[in-house]
Amino acid sequence: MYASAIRALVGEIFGKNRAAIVGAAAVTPAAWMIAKAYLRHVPGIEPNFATPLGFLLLVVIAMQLGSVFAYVDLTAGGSGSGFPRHILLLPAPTWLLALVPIIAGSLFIAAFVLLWLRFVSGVQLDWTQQLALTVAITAVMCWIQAMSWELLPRSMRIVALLVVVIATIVSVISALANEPDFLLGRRAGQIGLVLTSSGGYGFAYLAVIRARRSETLALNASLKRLFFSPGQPLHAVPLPTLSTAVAAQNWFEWRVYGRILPLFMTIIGAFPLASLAFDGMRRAPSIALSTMLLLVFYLMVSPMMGAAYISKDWTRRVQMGTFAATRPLSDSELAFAKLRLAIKSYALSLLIVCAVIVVIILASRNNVALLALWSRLTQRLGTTGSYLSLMLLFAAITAASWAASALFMSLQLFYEAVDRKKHGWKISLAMVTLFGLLLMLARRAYVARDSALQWLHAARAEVIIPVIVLTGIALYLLPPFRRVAALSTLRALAVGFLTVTVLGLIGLSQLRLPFGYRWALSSGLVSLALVTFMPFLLVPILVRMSRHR
Amino acid sequence: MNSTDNNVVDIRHLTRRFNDKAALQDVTVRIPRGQVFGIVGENGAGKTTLIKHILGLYRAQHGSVSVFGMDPVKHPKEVLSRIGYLSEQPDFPEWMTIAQFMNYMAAFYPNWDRQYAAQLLEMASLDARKKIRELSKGQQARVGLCAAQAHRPELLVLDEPSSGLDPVARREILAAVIRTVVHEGRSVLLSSHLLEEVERVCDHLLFFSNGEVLLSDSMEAVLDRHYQITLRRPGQLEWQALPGVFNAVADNGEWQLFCFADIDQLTGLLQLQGAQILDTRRLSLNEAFLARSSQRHTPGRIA
Repeated sequence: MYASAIRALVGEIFGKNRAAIVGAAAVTPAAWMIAKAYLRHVPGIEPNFATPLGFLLLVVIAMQLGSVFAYVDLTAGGSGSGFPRHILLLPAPTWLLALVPIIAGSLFIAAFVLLWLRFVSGVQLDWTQQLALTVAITAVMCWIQAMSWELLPRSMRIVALLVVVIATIVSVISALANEPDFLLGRRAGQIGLVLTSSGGYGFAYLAVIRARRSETLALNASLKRLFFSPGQPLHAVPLPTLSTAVAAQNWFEWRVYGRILPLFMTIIGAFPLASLAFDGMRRAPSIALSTMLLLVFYLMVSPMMGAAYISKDWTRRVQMGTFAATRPLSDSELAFAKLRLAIKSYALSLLIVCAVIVVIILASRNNVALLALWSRLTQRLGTTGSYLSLMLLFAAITAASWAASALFMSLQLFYEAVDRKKHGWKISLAMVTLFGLLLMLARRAYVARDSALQWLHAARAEVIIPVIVLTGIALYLLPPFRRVAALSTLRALAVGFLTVTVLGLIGLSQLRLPFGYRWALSSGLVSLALVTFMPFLLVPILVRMSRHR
Repeated sequence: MNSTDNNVVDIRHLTRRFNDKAALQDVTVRIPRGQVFGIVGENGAGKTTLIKHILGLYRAQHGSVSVFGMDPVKHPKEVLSRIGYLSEQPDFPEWMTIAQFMNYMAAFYPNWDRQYAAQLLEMASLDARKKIRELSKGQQARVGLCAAQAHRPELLVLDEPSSGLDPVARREILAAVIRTVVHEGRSVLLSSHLLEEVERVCDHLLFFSNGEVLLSDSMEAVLDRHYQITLRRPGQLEWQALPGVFNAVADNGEWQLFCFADIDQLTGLLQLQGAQILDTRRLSLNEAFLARSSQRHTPGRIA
């Protein structure tokens, strides 16, 4: 009987998610071939995956596989919808129902990760390290599974998962780092890894058992009682004063979407600060921690803002559905509520990151690399020039990141607005083309990494082409835009952007750079300003399109 | 005062296609002020598509839509602030408590009456401290109903509101709401599959099928003129040529005709053609709906 139950369970998991499994498996040779073709002419890089990008790819694929085996239906509603509830009715013991997906998933992912690390990647890790990585990834998988069974109140679920994922990542890095005192330190990292892994396995097992006995909701309620004093209404929070419709919509947008990114960055930022307790941060190079934090922010901000904004599956909350579309607000009021929130959310997150970086630099005793970099810069540009160029660089990266986030959000809105059955392939083609362009840009940037200014001078086309394309789209969409009653706001915004651009150009002219570089940087700045402004044109049009189909 | 002033909704020659499928075909509808206007039809007949045009969620591809004399796509704020709407599957923000939800909704409507909203919640036996996601489907629908009418809208649009309510609540709440709205000279647009409910409360009926308006008349006329005639007549009967007959079933020389007509005139005409009338019976709305629907679905059964 056990054998047939196991076969049925494994068959269901593989059958239901075979597309995801085959896709993940196919990514490896495909990525290998692309990397080989793409990196062929890049000196100094072997076509293997011994790069952060390769490692990231591995983690993404493993996480996807983790979701597949975590009883999560990827097609219908995200982490809250453990799909095979009917499995709980099978005439099989509960431990079997809990363990089969855990063991099948763990084995599959372990084999995949080991294969990747051993034969595909050039990452030099010994067997213990590879095993530790595998255990960590499968542990996260188990945590996802546990969360999908509604053990915790909904508001706590995503936070708990984030904390566990970050704790696991930090533990793995600390445990595997060459320096024994990096981040939390090797010993604390090992302890953290054991705790998160065993906790994941145990929690997932407990979740399935409790789900079968319909006890998950009882535990959920007990936790609520634990956090909120008994007898008190659970959410006796004072109601906000919402004097106007726009104020109400701003409040709504912030409560639904706005808090996610700042919350995420607070959790991320808390880890380096928490490592102060282990004295790890004082020993880790401040430049490494700061760069890591900035990288996490700039890499995560676009997908998080785009996805969290629109996707129903991501937040399991409302998108531009009937409820949102029937608010008695004009199209421009709806659009600007979204944009205002996006800016607020982005700015607050950046502020948190900057504050943590300041603490890191002040608390770290290892600022040598940072000081050496600063010294090289001041020798070349002088003190004022160095401050100015750093500010310009920071502003440019932030503007580019904001533009990417807002354009990603626009893309999601666009995807919502169009008939996907009819135009889906065209969008996919456009996405692939855009991705290709970005890859081309990244390759050019990497090849010319030692002479970035020369590259910028010679390769303006890559910067200007997207601007031309986006302007073309905006012009194409102009007729419906004329009916959007937000021209005065847009005019004010355009004046603001123009002012900032002119100030930036004046700042650039003050740098002691040859004319060619100055021209190249100026054209880059203008392009960036245009791209940054583009969402303010696109979002009102797209909101209008998705609201009135 | 022109004719538009008496109509809260004025739709003319509206056609809507989704790819190759016509969801609405040349639909012309006017909803007068102060009436309870019922829309009935099979699944996919075009009821929700019509309602979405009224709300401005669909742009008219052909024809025109005017609500309170305005285009709802061009003036969503002005139109929606005067409408109360409850959809078949309300996608309310489930994370809010009922109190938060009502507070949030109040900000959008200048006419929101907090006292009336509290009364409505009490009438619906809802605890304002509860979160929406903790409520049953029926309770969520009641919350939606309270929110839809707390600003005393000029037009209350109910798209299958009863689908989540138990029979007692359905009967009591819906009747009370509709009575209130109508007594104050406001209008209701009610789309429902529950024909008894429609028959009980609607003044006017719009019968939709495959995106077309098959029938638009006062409820009184609809009930007075729908008949089933049982007759015997040797040989074939060209029932399609008979005025008002929309469906017929033959069984061993006995015919059952379903019609929307002046019954005396029609029976007279049939007797002239040699038919022996065995029985005439007025159809309920439910029976009329089924007869009209089976006309489109089971052509093979029709003689």
